[in-house]
Amino acid sequence: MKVILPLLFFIMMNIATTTLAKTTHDIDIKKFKFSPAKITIDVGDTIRWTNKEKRQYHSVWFEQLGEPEPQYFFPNEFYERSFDKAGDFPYRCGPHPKMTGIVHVQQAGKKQPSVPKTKSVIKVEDSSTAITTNKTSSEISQKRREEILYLLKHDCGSCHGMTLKGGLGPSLTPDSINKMSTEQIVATITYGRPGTPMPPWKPFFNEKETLWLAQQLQKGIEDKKE
Amino acid sequence: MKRPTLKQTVLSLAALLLSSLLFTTSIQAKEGSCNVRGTGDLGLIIERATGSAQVVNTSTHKSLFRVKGLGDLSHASVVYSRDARYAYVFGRDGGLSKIDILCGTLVKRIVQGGNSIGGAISQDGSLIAVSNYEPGGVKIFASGDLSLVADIPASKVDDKKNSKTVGLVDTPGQNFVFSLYDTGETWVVNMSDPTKPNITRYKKIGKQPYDGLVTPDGRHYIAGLFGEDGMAILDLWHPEKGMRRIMDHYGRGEKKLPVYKMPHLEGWAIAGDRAFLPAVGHHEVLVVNSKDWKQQAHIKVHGQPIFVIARPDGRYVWVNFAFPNNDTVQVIDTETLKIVKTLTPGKGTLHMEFTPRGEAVWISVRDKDEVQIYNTETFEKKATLPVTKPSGIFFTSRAHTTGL
Repeated sequence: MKVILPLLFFIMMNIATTTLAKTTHDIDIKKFKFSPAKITIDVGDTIRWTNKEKRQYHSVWFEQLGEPEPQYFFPNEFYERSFDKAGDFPYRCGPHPKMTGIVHVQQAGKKQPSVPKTKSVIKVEDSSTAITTNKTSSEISQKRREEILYLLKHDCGSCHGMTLKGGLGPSLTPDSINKMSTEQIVATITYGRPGTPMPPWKPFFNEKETLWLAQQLQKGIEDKKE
Repeated sequence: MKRPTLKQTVLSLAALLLSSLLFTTSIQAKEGSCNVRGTGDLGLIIERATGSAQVVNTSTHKSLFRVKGLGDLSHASVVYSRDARYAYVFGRDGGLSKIDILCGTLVKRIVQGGNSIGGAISQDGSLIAVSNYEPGGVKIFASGDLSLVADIPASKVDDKKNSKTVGLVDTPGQNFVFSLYDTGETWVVNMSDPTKPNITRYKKIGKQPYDGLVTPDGRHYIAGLFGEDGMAILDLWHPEKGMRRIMDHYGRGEKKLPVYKMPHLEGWAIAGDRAFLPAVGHHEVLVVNSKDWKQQAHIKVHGQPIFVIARPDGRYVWVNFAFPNNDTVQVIDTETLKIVKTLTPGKGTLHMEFTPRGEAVWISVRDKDEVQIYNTETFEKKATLPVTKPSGIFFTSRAHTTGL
């Protein structure tokens, strides 16, 4: 038994791969270009677009299929989509209309013609963004903490005030911000607030850093004189 | 008539020489520690993190004074008295400070509101108006002693709050014009009789006006809209016609990028009959015909523009950018609409100011703690001045420019 079980498993795996035989093709996004911009794949194959920019976000939008524009994805994230029909599928980047590409999907004789279409997904490959200098996964380095607080003071400060008492954006002092839960603060920093000028800061902080920043705001930032 | 003798001529010449010598000495004398000189080549640089400002000389590239105690200057702007001796600094914390730039002294400081965004000086120089976020509205003060002349609360947003006010400028006829961010209005306040401010309200101008500007001739007031595409314009020669929308189609079908810093509409970059404006949420500078306000072109640039300003002669337009692209400055040729130069002064390039006739531009670079001075013809860096976390740079030539 001990020998047969793994063997059986191996055979099953083999069957599964030969019947589905899906290949994943990679397209890199770098310097505002899809590379390669033209690609030929077989029906049932998947394409993974990986954002390899330093800090620019993009989207992969099959506008001509009448689809709504998908979410942006940020450096080190990817977008996947599989194709279950033959044909030519042009696409573009939502925020950058000049970035275009085309997927040519051809019938592959030996493959199953109709593979169920997988939903397109955006996944984070690596939780630390490109800008993050911190490599250790458990701790945020002192240097990085200082960078985050500097950014908070000067860049968040351009709307919320350098002392965080508010400006065009609301006050971020503890008595104001503690009306929100930690999760709400994290979500606001990560995704911004639609309908207001608050933008998503996801390209600049990873999840740990965002959580840390939210906790600092709840506690109150010490106003250190420079 | 008797001709003067030689002796008389020599005497009178000597007297003339002596008096001119005396005159020269009296020019060089100082009034206490004050400089006795004109202020035409002076200016002020805001040090945003330390609540201070430096008085600088644009001829010698030297710092003359540092004035402290100006409060929270994370957002600050400056206007000048018409004699260009006094600078009025509007701070984030609602502070209004009057600085004597000849003496480098703080003459008077009041905290007139909780949170303010900017201000303006009236056409005749007698009134200073401040635009406040908290409490939302505009307050007007006498430029001499900063005593309150008028308090104009903005429209109510709810029981507790009034709308934030933005884009406050002066216009001819002793008017102040500003916009209401939360309620989408533009108000014109006539101060011909300071005891009776006369307000004209224009409603439904568009969603979330975030800043405003007036053309150099003082004729057109334009409010930029954050909440929707396009801008709202008021012809102050024909205020009865009301506000209308321009560039409504701009941005349609193109998704906007997140905006990490609001653009500024200070000044109006005009070259010939073209005006250059920052696009909101796009890496573009818009080119608009200043006769019919139709969009002529858009120029792809390095990032989302913050300031788009023309060299005084209109030959080039200089552009800086929002975070995270705020280390760069680009220069656009106003004839060909091509980018002719890209400079990288450094991270936190926040503001640019031209000398009165435009041979040099001063650029503040926050993260390097310096102000860099460039030759605007050769793009060569001529000098660097140490300034702590510099932001806005304001030269006295603003004293005689409507809207600045």
